[in-house]
Amino acid sequence: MDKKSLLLTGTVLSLSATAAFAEGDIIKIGALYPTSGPCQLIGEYSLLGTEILAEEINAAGGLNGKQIEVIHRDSKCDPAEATAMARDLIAREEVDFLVGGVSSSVGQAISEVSRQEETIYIAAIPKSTQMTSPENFHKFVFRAAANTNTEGKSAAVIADQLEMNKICTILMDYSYGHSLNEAFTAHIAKIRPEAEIVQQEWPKNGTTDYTAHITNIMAAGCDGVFSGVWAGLFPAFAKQAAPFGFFNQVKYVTAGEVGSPEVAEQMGADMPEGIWANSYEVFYHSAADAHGEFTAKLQEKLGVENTPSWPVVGYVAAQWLTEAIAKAGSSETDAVIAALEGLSIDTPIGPQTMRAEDHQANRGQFWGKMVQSADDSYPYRRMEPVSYVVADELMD
Amino acid sequence: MITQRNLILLGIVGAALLALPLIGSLFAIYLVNEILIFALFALSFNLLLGYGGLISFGHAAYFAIGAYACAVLLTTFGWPFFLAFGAAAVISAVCAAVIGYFCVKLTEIYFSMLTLAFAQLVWAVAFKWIAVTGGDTGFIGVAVPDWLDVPVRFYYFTIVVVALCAWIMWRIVNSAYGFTLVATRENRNRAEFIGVDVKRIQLVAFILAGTFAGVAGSLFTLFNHSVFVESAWWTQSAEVMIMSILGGVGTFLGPALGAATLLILDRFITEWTVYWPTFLAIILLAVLFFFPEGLMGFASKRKKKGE
Repeated sequence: MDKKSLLLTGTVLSLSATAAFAEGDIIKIGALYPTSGPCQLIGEYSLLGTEILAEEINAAGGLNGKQIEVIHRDSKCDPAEATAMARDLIAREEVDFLVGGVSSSVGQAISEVSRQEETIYIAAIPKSTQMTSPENFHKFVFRAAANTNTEGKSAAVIADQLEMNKICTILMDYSYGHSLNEAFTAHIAKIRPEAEIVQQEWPKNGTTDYTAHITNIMAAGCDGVFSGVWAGLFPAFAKQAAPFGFFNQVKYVTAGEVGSPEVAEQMGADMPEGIWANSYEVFYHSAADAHGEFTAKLQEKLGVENTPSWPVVGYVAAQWLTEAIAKAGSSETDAVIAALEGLSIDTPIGPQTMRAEDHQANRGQFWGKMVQSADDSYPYRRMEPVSYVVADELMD
Repeated sequence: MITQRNLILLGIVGAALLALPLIGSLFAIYLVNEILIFALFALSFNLLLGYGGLISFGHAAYFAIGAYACAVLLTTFGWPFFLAFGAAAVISAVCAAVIGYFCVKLTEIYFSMLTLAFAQLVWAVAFKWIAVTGGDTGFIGVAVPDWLDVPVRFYYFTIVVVALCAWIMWRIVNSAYGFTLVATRENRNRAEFIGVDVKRIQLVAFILAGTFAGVAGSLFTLFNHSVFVESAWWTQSAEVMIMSILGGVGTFLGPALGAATLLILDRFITEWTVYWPTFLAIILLAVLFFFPEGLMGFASKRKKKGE
């Protein structure tokens, strides 16, 4: 066979392969993650997780005999852009489902498009309780992420374990911070009535100088701090707080994925010893079963030993869809919604259930005390011990 | 200038817009609808920049005020559609009048900085007034009336509104007032010497621009069924400025062309590269260096050479 005919055969073969999976034989999932701008890293890793899931399913023969195709658009961490891109995916790429979103406003924007276009949307990362509140809720939106109730109340559980009695809070002055505050204060009052909130600090979102807040807290005489200075902001905050001896004076419990391995690695010795932090995933928590397999796959994909925490988030968000489609035996919207409601799945981070009445998954998070690892191959702070705080009682 | 050639071109574009739904692509309808809305926004901005020589860094404020007013009146207060839509424009006009009153007292960079400061103030109010605007998680679920809540119908509605507004703006810039506005841009002192009340002329331009921006904002709310604080952020003001400069501030329709170019580029560049801001910057640099009069200016210059 000469070169030309080889090429021709190849073309014909690939064309027929495409034809075999043409319209109707492909399940299209539209992924909306920011791959530029300030949320880029989270977006890229989450997208990778979604793609890994699609690869796995396709390699195993597809879903209900159909291949999965993930089509990505950059949501740029901007709600107007996310709206346009979500429509673009539905109108042009004719996707059957939407997954993704990082910030709460982008989650809301995509949710609005999903309501108009009657397309199922699985919110991967947005935490705002407003998304599932009665005035905004509709049957096409589902949330795989933990909500701010789960996160704030989990922190209250930790604060109770640490026997914090005089508590200061430092939360960013936008909806995420205020929602965390509501959840935390309500829950700590319930489970630890003797605790009181003595000082509340509200740094402006986007600020780079926390000095005044740090000194206010240190002067307030509290024994514990609940913080919402999330992972992206925490390195700057910690650098400013450490010289004051801040982390030695108070017990520090922080939401916002400060405990994720990528932040620990980025900060190295600057990560304060002994603070309590959370993460969606820590690769070292278990090498068993599905988690071990997922970590191994990720190590191979990325060519690194210490894998980041965000891919599992994108993986699980899309997993809700694929498992529901398999259960329904169809990718019809109504059938998949019915299958999703009350669905239980096994994910790399353990079993999860999608609550039927408000489409909120019982997603908990890993919490732990950040201490210097004794392992030479991992010279960073890590959670020891790692505990998974169950969400079922906390998410309302 | 209305030449026969321009009229024919306009007719062709108009006919193409009207016929667009016939090709049956929902994607095209959404894209062109968005372009039309931003074209109106950019045209309103050009009343200030192109005709008045006033560089506003805060034009997004009026877009956002119109957007929020329309959303709140329709949804929270349940006003009838046309009343809410009209009132949103009036509210934008009133806000532009109040803010403009202070801004036109200053000139040049001081004017620009004050417009920016007021726009950031509008943003801060939208961000903080959570009970009304939903704060930074946004206002979703806008009660768009059922008769309008069909993409093709809304598309035609947008065409009618944008065409009407563009026609009014065209009449304004070609009126005695419009020429006076250009005179204040060309030489403020001379205009004052011949008895023109420059501040008043500029204030009127500010109000008109704010009003039409508010209409564009209302349309955007109805189009998306949602409003977010980002629409009042300074980058939105920068975007409308980029649209105008890209298309050409020296012509009436240049900014509309700029809006179309920017949105189409954005939609297609982002598809094959995550480095879209780099490409946008290169395109802008090229325009500023090689076609300082924008795409429209470039096109009309070539036409003149050809004649």
